[in-house]
Amino acid sequence: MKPHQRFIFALYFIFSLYFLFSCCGFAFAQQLFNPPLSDRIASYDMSVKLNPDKKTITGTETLYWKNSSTDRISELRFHLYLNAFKNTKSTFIQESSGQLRGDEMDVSSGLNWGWIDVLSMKVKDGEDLTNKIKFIQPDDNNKDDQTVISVPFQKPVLAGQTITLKINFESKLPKVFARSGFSDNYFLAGQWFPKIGVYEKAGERYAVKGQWNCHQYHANSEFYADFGVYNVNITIPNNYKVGAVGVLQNEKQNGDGTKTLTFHAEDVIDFAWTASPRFKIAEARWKNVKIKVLLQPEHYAQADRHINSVIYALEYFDKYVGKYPYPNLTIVDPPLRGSGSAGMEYPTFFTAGCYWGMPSGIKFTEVVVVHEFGHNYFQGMLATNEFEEAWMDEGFNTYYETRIMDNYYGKHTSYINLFGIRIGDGEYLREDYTGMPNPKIAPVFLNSWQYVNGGYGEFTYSKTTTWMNTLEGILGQKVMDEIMQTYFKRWQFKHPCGKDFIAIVNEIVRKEFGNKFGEDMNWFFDEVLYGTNICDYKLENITVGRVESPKGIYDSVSAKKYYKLIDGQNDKPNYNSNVLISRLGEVVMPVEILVHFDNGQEILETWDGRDRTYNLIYNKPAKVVWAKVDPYNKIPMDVNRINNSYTTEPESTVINKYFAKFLFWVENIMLSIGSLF
Amino acid sequence: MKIFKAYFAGLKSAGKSKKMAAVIYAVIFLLALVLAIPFHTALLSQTGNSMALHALLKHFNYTIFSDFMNSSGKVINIFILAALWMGIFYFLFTVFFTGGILNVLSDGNRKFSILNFLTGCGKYFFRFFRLGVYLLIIQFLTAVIIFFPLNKILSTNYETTQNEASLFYIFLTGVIIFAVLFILILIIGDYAKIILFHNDSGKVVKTIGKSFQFVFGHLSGTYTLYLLILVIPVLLFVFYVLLDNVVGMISGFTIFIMFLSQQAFIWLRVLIKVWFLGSELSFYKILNGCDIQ
Repeated sequence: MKPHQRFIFALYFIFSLYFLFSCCGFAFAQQLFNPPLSDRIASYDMSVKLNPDKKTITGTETLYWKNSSTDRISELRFHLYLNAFKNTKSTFIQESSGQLRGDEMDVSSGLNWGWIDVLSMKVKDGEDLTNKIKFIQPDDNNKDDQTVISVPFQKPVLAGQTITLKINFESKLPKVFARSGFSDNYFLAGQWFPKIGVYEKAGERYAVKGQWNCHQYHANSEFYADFGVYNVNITIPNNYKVGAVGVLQNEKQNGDGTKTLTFHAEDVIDFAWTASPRFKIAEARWKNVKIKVLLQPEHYAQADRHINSVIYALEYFDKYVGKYPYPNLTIVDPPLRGSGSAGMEYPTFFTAGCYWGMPSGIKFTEVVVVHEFGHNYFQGMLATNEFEEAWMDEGFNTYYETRIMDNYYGKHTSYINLFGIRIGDGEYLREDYTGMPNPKIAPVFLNSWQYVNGGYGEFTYSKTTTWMNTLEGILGQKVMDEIMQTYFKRWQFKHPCGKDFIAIVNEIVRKEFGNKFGEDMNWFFDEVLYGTNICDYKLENITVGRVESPKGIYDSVSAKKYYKLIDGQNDKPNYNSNVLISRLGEVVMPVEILVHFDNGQEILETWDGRDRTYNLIYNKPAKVVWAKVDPYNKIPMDVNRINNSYTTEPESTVINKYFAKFLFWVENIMLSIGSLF
Repeated sequence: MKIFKAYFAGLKSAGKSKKMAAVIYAVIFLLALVLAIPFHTALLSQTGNSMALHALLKHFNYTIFSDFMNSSGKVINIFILAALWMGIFYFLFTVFFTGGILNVLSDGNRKFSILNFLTGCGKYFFRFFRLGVYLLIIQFLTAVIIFFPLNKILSTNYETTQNEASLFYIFLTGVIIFAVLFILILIIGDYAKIILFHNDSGKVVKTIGKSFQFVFGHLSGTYTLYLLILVIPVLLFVFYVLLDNVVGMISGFTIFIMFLSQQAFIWLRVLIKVWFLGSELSFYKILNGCDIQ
């Protein structure tokens, strides 16, 4: 090779290397996790355009779906969630009567309905499936419900193979009242694209053979999906500010008054996004996590409330559950009339909720932020089936919400601390369950749409939180943390179910306590998860009697014993104290009983809680003054704490306080009504 | 100057009416006790020998409060309802006492006589009762007149605004308008009482008209005088809240101290009511060229 040829070759080589590395560099920039965190069964490339006037999103979707089972699959099932808002005969509207979480569907305008049309569906380089699409109703046979489709195809997807589908669709967003939709120029696109269901292979969760798990959209249910990678191009007018699941990778101006933003997300189960020209943006960082808050301008003063609380949540989950692996987090603050979309979670992206002028003593915003962030773990990474086991995400997540809120804002002040009214988040949620008119109306373990007589929220959120706190009370926080960390480590980026969690509880409890709580902890879950009974222990009574010293002369074979001698020997008083505890509820829990004597001595007893009544008898020179069942509030499941204690010396100070207050209130009511004249 | 003259004349009248206020206070106290004693008994029986309520001594405890309400709420709700009925019942007493108060105030220099007081109470009761009914109807109509447009404005704005702050300000405006009108009705009512008493008239509707004329004829004076006195109970309330925060009700001793403070507060409220009527009576007399004592 001649020198100049060598030079040209070297130049060419260097240029090629540069080009190669540049390309590789682009590829590396796109890749967030190597190796992948999940098995990435369902991945999507989408290019969509928002029409802000028509409230529509049109676009194309390329779905890569991997058959992770050993079955030959020749049918796919998809969720078309937005069809829940198509008419009044959809299962969602029928079940909810057009209301959700206090918001009501506005049917006054045709623009307010929502739907999704699959315009075409085709296997890449293969069969056109458009005409094969049929609506199915696996849950309730409501023929008017169009939220699930079945798509049969000729060439089966074999084990381990990936099928690629090209889908054209148009989504019409409803006026927001249930998570997703529009309000003026605010858009929250959630459950907005044709989304494939989950094919559960034999042995996964409760499946005995491979089957689609693709439920209709119900009033009381959220979602269930496989992990995947999302690359989404969103085209939108230039003046809109956009937030979405994943990271923003590119933004380009189209020259026609629109721009296209490219978002990329890995190992997530969903993709949602928001857009509004009104958003004012606040940013922060926690370790390597970039936090972005898209706020309504009138709420901007409350940016710190969002940021501080989410950082608390990040810290707490990182310390007590596991690492938050994603590089960013986006919080959306919906406008007043978009509040139906508030308090909803998506991976790396969630909607919070706040109101102008809300006093700092009302921690509503903080509670919502902490709760919705927690869903990144419970459902975001531990991808449980919210249709069937809502307690595993809502309940577990609310349990952590109470732990975080109580830890950072005070056990008795973490929900409200205003004008002397103090309510802790955990307290509030416990009362939500214990204060139910009928806490036996349903078990926690129930498909979410089967709470036909109410109780979905109380059981999945509040009762589960309460029994999780009870489990922590029985086992101690250290063991509870070990359970949850093991659960997270073992099941993150998978689809755990209830029995998987119980197996871990049994494993850790056996390791830490042996048989202290029995063979396993199934008894606990039989009561709190599968059962409907309530827990109520009562300190029934304390009786104290003086034990008289024996008097007189008692014979024995060789000697006479004299008692009650004149000099007063053996005259020291002894007392027989009887503490009676009752189990009023059907639920059996091991409980502690603290017994206090008049000499200051205290004895902590334990009782397995099984019998209907339990007696503690003391024969001592001291009298029992008071006793408490569950003195350290380890069993918040106990529905009535008023009857948990008993004293032989009732004190009227508190009664007098409320007597005085009541008298004062009555006098003021009289004067106030009188002042109308 | 006339306003301040009337203001201090009313204060002076109230100062001389401590015994009368004590009599009215005693009635209030006894009526409230009718409910408070069974309430005390009910609390004792509902909590029995439980120690749980001790958690409510220093602070409000939501768990204990909610468990107590879950187990004994039905009993407590009866007392809350009874307190409202007692308030309505006391409205009749207010009507009854007004004649007595005016009778005593009009005899400014005479020593307080329970007979004089009760004579006034009895003499004016029925005409004041009719006046009371008319005033309640006017107050109700005012509330309705404010509520429906306000509700309409709020709901219309809710459909168009993107900012709840504007809704709050609309609501606040409505509340302020209502408060201004409500106070105006109370002032008209007070002068109607004074005119009825002063003229010893039985023509209630006509008197309301006269009062209306008088108040609007001297709107700034009557309104300012009312607001100047209204500041006092507001300050008193603020003082009570501060005292409650400082002293608290966390022991037998502090409960006793606060009990005395609460009862003093009630007595002062009665005295301020006398102050209102005394000042307004003086103002009416001053403007009508009568001597005031």
